[in-house]
Amino acid sequence: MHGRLKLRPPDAARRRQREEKLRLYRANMAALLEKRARGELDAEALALTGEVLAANPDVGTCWNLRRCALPAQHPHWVPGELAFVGGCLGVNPKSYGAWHHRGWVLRRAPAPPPAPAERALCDRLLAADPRNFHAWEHRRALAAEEDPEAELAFAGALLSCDFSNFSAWHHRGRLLALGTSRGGLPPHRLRAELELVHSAVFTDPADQSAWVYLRCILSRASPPPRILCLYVSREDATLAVTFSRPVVVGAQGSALMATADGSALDGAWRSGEGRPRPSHTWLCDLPPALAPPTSRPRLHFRVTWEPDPSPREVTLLPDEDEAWWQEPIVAQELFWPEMAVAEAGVLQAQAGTCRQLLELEPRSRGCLLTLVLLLSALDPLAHRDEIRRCLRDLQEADPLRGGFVADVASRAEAAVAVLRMGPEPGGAVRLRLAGKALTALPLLERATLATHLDLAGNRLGGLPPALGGLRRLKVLDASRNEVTTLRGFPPLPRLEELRLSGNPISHASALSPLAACPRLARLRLAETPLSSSPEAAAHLAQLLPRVDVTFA
Amino acid sequence: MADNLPSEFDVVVIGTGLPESIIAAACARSGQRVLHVDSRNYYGGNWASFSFSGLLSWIKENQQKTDICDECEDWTKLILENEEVISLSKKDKTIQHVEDFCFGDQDSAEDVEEAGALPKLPVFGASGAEEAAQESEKECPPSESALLEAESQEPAKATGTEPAAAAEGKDAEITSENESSHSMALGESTLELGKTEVAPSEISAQEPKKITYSQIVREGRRFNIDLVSKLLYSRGLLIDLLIKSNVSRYAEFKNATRILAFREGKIEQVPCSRADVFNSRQLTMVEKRMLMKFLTFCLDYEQHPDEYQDYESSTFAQFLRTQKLTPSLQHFILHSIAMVSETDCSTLEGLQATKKFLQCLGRYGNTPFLFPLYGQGEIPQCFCRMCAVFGGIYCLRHSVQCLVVDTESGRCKAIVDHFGQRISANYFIVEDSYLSENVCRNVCYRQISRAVLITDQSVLNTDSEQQVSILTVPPVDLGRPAVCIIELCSSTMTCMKDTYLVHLTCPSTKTAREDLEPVVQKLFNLNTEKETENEELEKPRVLWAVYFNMRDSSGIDKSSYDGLPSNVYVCSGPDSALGNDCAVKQAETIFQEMFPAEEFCPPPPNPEDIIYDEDEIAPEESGFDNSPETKPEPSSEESSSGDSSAVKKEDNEE
Repeated sequence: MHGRLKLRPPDAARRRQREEKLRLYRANMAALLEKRARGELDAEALALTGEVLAANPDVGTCWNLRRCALPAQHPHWVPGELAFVGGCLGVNPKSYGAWHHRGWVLRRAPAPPPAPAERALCDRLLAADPRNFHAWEHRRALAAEEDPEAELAFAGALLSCDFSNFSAWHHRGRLLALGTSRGGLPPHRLRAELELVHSAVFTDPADQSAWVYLRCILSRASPPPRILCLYVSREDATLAVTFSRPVVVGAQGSALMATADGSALDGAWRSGEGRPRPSHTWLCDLPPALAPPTSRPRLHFRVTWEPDPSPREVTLLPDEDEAWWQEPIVAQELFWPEMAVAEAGVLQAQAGTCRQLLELEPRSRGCLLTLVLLLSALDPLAHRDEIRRCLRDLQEADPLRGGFVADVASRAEAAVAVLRMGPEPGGAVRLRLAGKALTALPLLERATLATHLDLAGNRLGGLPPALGGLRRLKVLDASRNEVTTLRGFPPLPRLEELRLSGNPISHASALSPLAACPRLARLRLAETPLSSSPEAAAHLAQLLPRVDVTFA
Repeated sequence: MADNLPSEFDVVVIGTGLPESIIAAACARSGQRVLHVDSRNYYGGNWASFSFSGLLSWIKENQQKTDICDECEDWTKLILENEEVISLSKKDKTIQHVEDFCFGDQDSAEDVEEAGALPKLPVFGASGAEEAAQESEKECPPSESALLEAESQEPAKATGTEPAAAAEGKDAEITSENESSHSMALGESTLELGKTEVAPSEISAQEPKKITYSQIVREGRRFNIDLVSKLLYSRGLLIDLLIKSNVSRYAEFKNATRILAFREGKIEQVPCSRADVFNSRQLTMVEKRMLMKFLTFCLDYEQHPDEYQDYESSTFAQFLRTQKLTPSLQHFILHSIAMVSETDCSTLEGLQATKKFLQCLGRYGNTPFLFPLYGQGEIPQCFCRMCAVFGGIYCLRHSVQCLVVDTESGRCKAIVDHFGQRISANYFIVEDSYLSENVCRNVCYRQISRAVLITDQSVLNTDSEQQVSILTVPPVDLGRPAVCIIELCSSTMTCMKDTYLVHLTCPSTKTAREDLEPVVQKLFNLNTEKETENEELEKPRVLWAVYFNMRDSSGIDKSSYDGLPSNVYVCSGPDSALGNDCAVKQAETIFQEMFPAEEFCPPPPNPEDIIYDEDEIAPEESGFDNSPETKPEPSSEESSSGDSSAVKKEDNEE
């Protein structure tokens, strides 16, 4: 037909270009490797690497050869090299090799490059891709010596284009030193940031970036680990120290020193969990001289831990079997220790905002979670019904993160139970957690004095080693859970009764850690696979000879 | 020169408006021999853009209403016995009620000439002078307006029509791709002119707030004033077509930067995108949520019929009232986002309009609209250029006397042009304004009311002066049409520095001035500087204004035209809608009717994939590399134009 163009098959041109590129790459690399084998790292080798990298900045071999060859060049190679890397970043702005090389060059530069030029490079890269983490990281390094207000404004400007930008929020957070300072933000700054966050979450509550940032600006640096509780028992002849976080003490960790009546206890510390790992609880055996079977001396203990300078003391009086010192529990710090407690009014206001948003968006998961955290931080006990309701809604709204939500719910329930725990007539201390749909057992370090732990009817898959901190525990009811094995169950000195009815324990050997509990007398295994297994009873009798095992 | 025109084509297109230009490009692209003519000396018909002096000439022409004298050649001898004739109209009657006003001191403008009235290139300079002579010959008796008197004392100014037209005038008879490279260079040279001539604006930069009429005249070439005011929906049919056909490479675009609303006597910015809502300081937190929630619902409203089906019989405005939206949000959505009537837009239409708006967000920026730099008039020219690249032949100032119809078959066979040449073809595309009253006697036309203002500041001043704004002013009396206002800043290359070009458009109920002046008075200060009262000070001052009515020939069924043969297709002029979908749809429909088997404007081939030599076997063709005109970049304009001219040479040799 008239005027029709005759065409090659489509993409022929592109294919030829690619073939040409491949041919060049192979030729250059072959020449380069040959030169390296001969040890000739000269200007020609540099030019060859330059050709390869300009087309493909991800060839690590070439960068390495370049780093070997460059120092031999004329003394002022740095500016030219920076320009070259800049060109490579234009080809692939996220090339790890190029960014790494850039850092290497900068470290060798006689003077740091002018910050405006560097910032302009970041600006350019971030304009092309506002989430280029390399560029953000580079900017952050520059911002260290520059005006933080200008940087805040820069991050703000990118957020105003699109606030779904974790990098930009994070940049702000880093500039405001969130998460590293002990206090929270100064009030005027906090107000400005909260306004920004509110605009974002009301515009799009489904976007998680602003919610995460909200949690960040409300929190402070995690409090460092400290001693929560000292417990000494004459009968066990041990001193137990419980920390707020799992720590390692002794040879591998920080020094933990205890004195009894002024003389140092030189026994080795062992973990309360019965295994050499970071642990909440560490134990020290008292030497027989201090705990003679016949007399009951008055004993004064003093414990110092290297990172926590203030010493903790406890006195065991002659007429007492046990004694303890415990840090008083602050309800507001129990659930979310990173929350900046001073700002209760601010937290109340945030909770109010969340409630307002929930009226409009009852299934916003960011909002539900934030409200739960806020209420738990304010007063877990007073708000427990609202917290439970929110968590239930959150489970429905966010089934993909069901496990996470269940763990949050477990922590909230544990906080409520810990706050309600107290000595009853007769000296029993009960931690009541039955039927709370628990999937985890957090905050046990706050329940070290419990004698009775009721976990019946939950969704626990095992009994955690952290139970080892409960030195006084006598009765543990874990009936109707999902426990299959007791592997990792710690040696509990006072445990007398363990109820495991209604758990899918199918092998007697799964109960073997119980042999380490000296006082265990009663073990209930009704409605378990073991109860219908003929050889289980015999096996258990062999394993736990002193224990009365009931299968019904 | 007219003898040089071939006497046989496949398709003859009369009129260079947007739909005709698209059809011409599509036909040329699919291998048809295309002749594209326009009786005017500029491209685009009613879709054109003019420099300031060009617009003044256009105004004068439309105010005088004189008939162009007939060429009076005896063409009847060209008509055979078994043939009939359908005469075409000699005079464009689509523009009425043109009234222009100057609010500055005109006397000082008398001696002012338009700076750089002629391009620096010697070729153009010569042709421009030639045109100046022609123009002044046609000069008509002075009109009553003082402004035009000043005009007529400066006949040279009339040469400053739209630069493209001036350049085109040199060889108005024939410009085809293979014989003259000027038509290709044309677009580029106008672009370059706009970009490079920076020097004169420095004068105005010294006193930015007082622009005088003489400055406007002097800087007249910085204006590109559209006859129709439209924007491109960033997911509209025109954008899709520009991308698909690769015509987009001939044009540059700028995002509209903000959507405005006029409410309770005040102009506010409408937060319409997610980023806008986030940044907005005027909305409360709850309003932000309510607005976002409603907009999100509109994006996939079809999935939630339960939300709106109870209101299907009521108006969109009523439906909005049932949603939890504050009055200001309702106003934003109804007038500025959906841009529909309060009284007679149904819920479904409103939801559809809102969805269309929202879908366009974010493709090129935070508003749904694009504006072509140098004016809307660029777009038809871009398609003409595409047509020329594929061998179409262009003649401006080339009138067609009549269509020749074969009485037996009832098909149109040929046209007779104003030189009396008979040119035959298979298909004929005629723009509506070329049809005689006889053919259109049963057609009922609507009208569009238009106003163009040059103002000294934006209707809403913010930190950035360079804003492209769109504002819908709801009618004062219910039932009358809303007025759509587009305000362009100087970075759109449509007006000089420190001025704004304001376009007002609405479907007519009366004359343009009667329709639009109340809105102009509300938003602008029409007094000269001395009379201005304090309260008026904050409003932008109008420096110059023109009102006119334009015929809206869209949406007319072909059967309404009397006695048109089946192979004659009618293209309508611009419609009153904001987007260009109507023109694109029409062009595609007509093209598919003519060539059902052909693809509509497929992407042009990569220049490197074109085979020039029949005997070529090896992929590395030496002839291609040796060609001095071609460059390896497939995307560059030069290479494509060079290539296609090379193609034409090839054909000629055969």
